Amino acid sequence: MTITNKPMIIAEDICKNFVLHNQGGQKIQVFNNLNLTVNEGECVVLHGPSGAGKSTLMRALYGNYLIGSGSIKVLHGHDWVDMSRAQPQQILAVRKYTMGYVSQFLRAIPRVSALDIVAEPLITLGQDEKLARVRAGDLLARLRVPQNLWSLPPATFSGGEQQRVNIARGFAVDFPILLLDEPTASLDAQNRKTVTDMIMEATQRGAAIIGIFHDEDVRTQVGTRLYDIKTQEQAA
Amino acid sequence: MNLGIDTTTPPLLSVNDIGVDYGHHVGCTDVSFDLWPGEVLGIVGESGSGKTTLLNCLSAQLAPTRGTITYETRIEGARDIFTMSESERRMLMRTDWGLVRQNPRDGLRLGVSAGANIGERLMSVGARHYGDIRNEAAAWLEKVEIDVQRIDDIPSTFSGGMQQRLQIARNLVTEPRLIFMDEPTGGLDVSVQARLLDLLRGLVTRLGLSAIVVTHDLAVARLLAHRLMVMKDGKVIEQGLTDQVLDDPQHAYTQLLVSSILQP
Repeated sequence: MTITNKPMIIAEDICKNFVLHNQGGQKIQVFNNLNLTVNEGECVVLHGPSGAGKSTLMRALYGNYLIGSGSIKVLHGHDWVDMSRAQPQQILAVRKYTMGYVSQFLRAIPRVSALDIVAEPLITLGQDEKLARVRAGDLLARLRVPQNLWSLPPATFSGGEQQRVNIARGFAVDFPILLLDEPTASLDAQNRKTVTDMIMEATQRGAAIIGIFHDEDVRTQVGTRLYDIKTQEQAA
Repeated sequence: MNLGIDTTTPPLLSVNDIGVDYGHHVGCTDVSFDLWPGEVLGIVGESGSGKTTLLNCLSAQLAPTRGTITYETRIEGARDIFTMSESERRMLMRTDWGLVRQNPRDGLRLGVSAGANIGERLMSVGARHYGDIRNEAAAWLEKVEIDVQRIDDIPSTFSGGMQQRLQIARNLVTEPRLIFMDEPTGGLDVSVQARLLDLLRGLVTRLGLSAIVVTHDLAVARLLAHRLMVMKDGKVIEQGLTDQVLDDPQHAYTQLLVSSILQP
């Protein structure tokens, strides 16, 4: 599948400030009037120096951060949902069916095994628990997480192992939209290659992907377009 | 968690502008929200913020000074819980609702066995067959990870964590649709807390329960709740999707609360 002109996510004129009430009401402007449209089959790479607001933009798209103004429309089934105004229940539904997110760090849940963490999004969708665990195991194996770790909670895993569990969880469901925040940051070359393959497979099946990748190789391999936050802002 | 929340159906609980005054002092005021089937709402705030007063009101233990609370009953549709008769309200609390108190000793009968603590609630909804009741009690002990061998022991011989799990089993055995929890992990060791949280998460998802959880522990709120309400001085000062409220708090007080967490 190649890139189509079917937009999956449309962010219009979005602004984000942080107001730190306990630091004398200090206002930090992160970005102003950003516009971004991502189509089916596209992998847009967010670009800009550290502190430009790449992760903040991702979190806003996921409904994790509020925006000051503008709109973020996401194609959820046949409906457009504005993530900046949607009710919590709607945002959770978008996250369940439409939009996956791989954060920089895994938020481990006490006592829940790596295998179950990966299988959880599938089980939430109502898939058979056994089949979900088979799929989870396939993903963990592909990402070279040793099988003797699968039954353990990942809190004690190394940074790279935790990150791979996180990636496996993010890719367990074939989401129409994927947000990837430095998924390859703490991985060795071999695993980085596996993750780039997984990202390219996702765009081939038509997923719309927005990613932050510090690794130049990964960026050129998976990215279909570069989105420079700073120049975007100056142009606005 | 089960996130299949359908807001096109009537809400399970609908809270309209309620307030409680204690003489001149305001316990809580101007609270309104809807809770849908399968939804878990967290209420956070420091001691004295009015969260327990609110929970006592929501769970029909304390009549509000103003406002109404309606509950979508199985048979008669939406009913104001404070205009029901006392016996109707008691029936609701025994069948459709569960209440997990912070101190398990307040929610258990300490003089009777663990099995009887679970069985009692079943009997109050009409179960009479001794063998069935005992089997059901044993099955619930297993679900909350208490050794079935302990079925005839009285709860005062249990550890705090076991007592809390027994209280949960006692509440869930009648398959309620709505469960109220007041600091369910308060006063427990962290390892015991983790076990209880994992258990609660699993039960809520599997049974599709709705829950209202009062806690001052933001990590507990993040793990259990879909939605959060932050209370201060008896008022809701901020509410929204749990991770949004915790990661991008808007109100000065919520920002202070979030930034005050100690990282281990």
